[in-house]
Amino acid sequence: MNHWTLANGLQVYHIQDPDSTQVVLNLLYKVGARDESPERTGFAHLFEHLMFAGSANVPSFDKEIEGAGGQNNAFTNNEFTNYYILVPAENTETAFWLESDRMRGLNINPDSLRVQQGVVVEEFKQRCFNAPFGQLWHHVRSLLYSPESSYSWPTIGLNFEQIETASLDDVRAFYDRFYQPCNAILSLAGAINETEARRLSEKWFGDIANTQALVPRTYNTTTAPVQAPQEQQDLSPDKAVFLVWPTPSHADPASNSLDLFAEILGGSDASPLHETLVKQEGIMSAAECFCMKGLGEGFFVLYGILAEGVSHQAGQEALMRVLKETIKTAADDDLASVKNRLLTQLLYERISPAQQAQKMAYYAALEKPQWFDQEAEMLETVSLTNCQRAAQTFLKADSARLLFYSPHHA
Amino acid sequence: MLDRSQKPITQAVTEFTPPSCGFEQRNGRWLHLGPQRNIGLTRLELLFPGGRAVQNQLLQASTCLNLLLSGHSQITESQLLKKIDSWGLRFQTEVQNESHSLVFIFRPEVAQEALPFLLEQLQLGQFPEDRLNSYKQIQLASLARRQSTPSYWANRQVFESLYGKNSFLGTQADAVDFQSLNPEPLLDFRTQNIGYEKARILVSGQYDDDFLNLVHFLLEENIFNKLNNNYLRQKNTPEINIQNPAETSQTLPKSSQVSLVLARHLDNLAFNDRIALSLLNTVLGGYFGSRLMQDLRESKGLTYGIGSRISPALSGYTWSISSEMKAESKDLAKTAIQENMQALMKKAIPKEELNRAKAYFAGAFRAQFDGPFASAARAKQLWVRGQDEAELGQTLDTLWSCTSQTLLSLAEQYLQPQDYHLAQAGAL
Repeated sequence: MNHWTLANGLQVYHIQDPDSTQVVLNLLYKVGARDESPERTGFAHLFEHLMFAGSANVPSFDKEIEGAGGQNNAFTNNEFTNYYILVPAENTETAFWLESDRMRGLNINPDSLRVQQGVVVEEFKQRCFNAPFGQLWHHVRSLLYSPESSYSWPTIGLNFEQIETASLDDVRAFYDRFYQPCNAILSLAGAINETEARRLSEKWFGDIANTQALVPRTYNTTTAPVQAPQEQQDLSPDKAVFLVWPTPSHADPASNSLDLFAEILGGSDASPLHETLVKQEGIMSAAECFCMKGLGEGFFVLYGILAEGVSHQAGQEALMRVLKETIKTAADDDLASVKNRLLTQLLYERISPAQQAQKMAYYAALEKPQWFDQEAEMLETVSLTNCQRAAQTFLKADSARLLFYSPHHA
Repeated sequence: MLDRSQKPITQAVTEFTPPSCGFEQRNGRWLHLGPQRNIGLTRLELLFPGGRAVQNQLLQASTCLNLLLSGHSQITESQLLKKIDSWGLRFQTEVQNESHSLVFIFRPEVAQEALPFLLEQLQLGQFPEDRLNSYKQIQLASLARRQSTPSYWANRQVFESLYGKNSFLGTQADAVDFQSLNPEPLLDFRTQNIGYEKARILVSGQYDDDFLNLVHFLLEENIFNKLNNNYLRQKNTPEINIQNPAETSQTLPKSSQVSLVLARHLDNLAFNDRIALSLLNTVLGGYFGSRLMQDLRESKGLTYGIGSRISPALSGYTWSISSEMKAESKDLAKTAIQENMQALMKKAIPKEELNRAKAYFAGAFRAQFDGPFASAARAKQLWVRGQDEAELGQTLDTLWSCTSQTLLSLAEQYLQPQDYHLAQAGAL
């Protein structure tokens, strides 16, 4: 992996894949839902949609990409917004032209705002109201964080009324504040060598000035106190229990230990959660867990979808029982298996230039760019004791936030 | 400042020689050998004819493959899965209409130990009742969750309407189909349809001659010859009976949107028509710049997503259009979809729009061959569909020679709104 920084502060990361015929240009802006105000939740994601509405020299972003034989998309989360373009190698420069033009020359206009508000509202309904557990992130984040924390709402926003009432002034202010070179990370992967990557990044991004000094941001990550279980009704025909704990951010070594513990506990069909609660006891139709690792946050989710006749209380107790038992009885062999599984997964991800580009940008945003080249080594350094200690420290029964889902008709 | 009003010159992908995507015969076996790459991973796929087309009851093929490692008197499923985990090996199964596969992805250093064990165990599972019951419980819950969404019902209804509820392509599994599963038909499916001696073998990623020799030894000369798995059935393609176009609807009181699906059948298409129709589909709803996406989403803001696709349906294809929107917009959306179909029948696609769609198609076509496992995927697709490998090399020439007039006449033939079945489900 190669790295350099342009004079305007844009960080650039590069890796070449000589076997690919495509180039991936990935641009991560360090802005996400945590940068929103409580009255404008969902705005970072709405803005992502507006970035496709054309720019000073490009009336239609997508038409230019597609005319060059490429594809593009983007995603937003609570901490950053990530845009990516895949183009045939012979049209690499088109990707640089397009992405640099919209960095400071976005065409902000009332028509595109109105249309994208409609699109995002429909996305909100499709994701949140038309899918089982569609409002999970609303519920989980409200349980984890105090209402003052900007981590307490999901990327899609608290409700779609806030999206519908966003104004052009909001859009301009957001753009000027966050969409500038010093707040972005460019990563390049695929059929492009370092010399060309340096030349094109300087040519197309080097002259873009920052619009305003970036004020260092701090985020309120105050967690919410543990309360009585939150009960929610849902489209899902089955009851479900979710247990959630706040955990350290990805930069903290405990985060990787918890990640590996999650893999021991529920990472495969032979793991204790599935084996005990689904196969042996038959009290759940799914029992899983995962560790969310972020730039400034982390949380651990343990959940089960309950078989008919099983109460929320019984489900909660069963999940905790298996968790405690696994902390106690996990063996070195279990951890070795997890490491082997994850190593295969890492190798698999390295096949894709798009995944490489996204990972480079993510680790740079985490301010740990060297981790891109150290993933396998880092995996090896985690011991069983690390995993057990992290689980004992962060996954205590009395600090679990509880979420009980019941079907709408119950 | 750099003058960004000058756009860089773009080059369309007009020429491309695809890598070999065929099979060669070695030691009496059909093999596809992908490009050798030192990526630290090997991918081995055993591909069999059969799939859903040869099953005697619904879910027989997928359940059999999902439970191949369900264990037997000597070893439990849990012990088997733990062993696989210990090697970091990924084992997946795939079931399509007329084929099924076993796929292994692993680090080369575990091959010698893992493959002999796994290939043998895959033939020994007894589908124990307790394991089958647990599987049913998981699948029934998953089905119930899918059935809570409008898109499930709209898609189900359109296929039932198009192909008939009791036909191969129109039948959908229900809870009762899961409940009626028992070990005998699963054992029968494995015996009849997963005999290694007739598997096609696809190898890609990091491998060498030693690995190929190991595979050959395991499948041909070793323990597996003792297994009673040599009765491969003849391919038995079910008939397709297209029903008269109809409209169906289903109200789901808990939904906040409506899911809309239109579909029709396309008979087996000659290569040139297949490329031309794929291009027409790209223009209609096959990419972000398509007419449906630009009109219904980007101009009218009616929906988050809309798209059209041509998907295999035995010897033919199904052409479908699907979207979700709020209930008040459903009639507007329906009208807009039909107007876009009619526009393609009435007026030739402008040159600029056609060239953009061709450029996109060509770029996406070449990109499909990127990556160490790509040629195996194409080899499988060609074989399953009975297509000629030489067509891959002709695809770009055929694409770039498509004219607006060709697409206009294809649109007249295949985009008549009255030929499409329409299903809507949700907040009606």
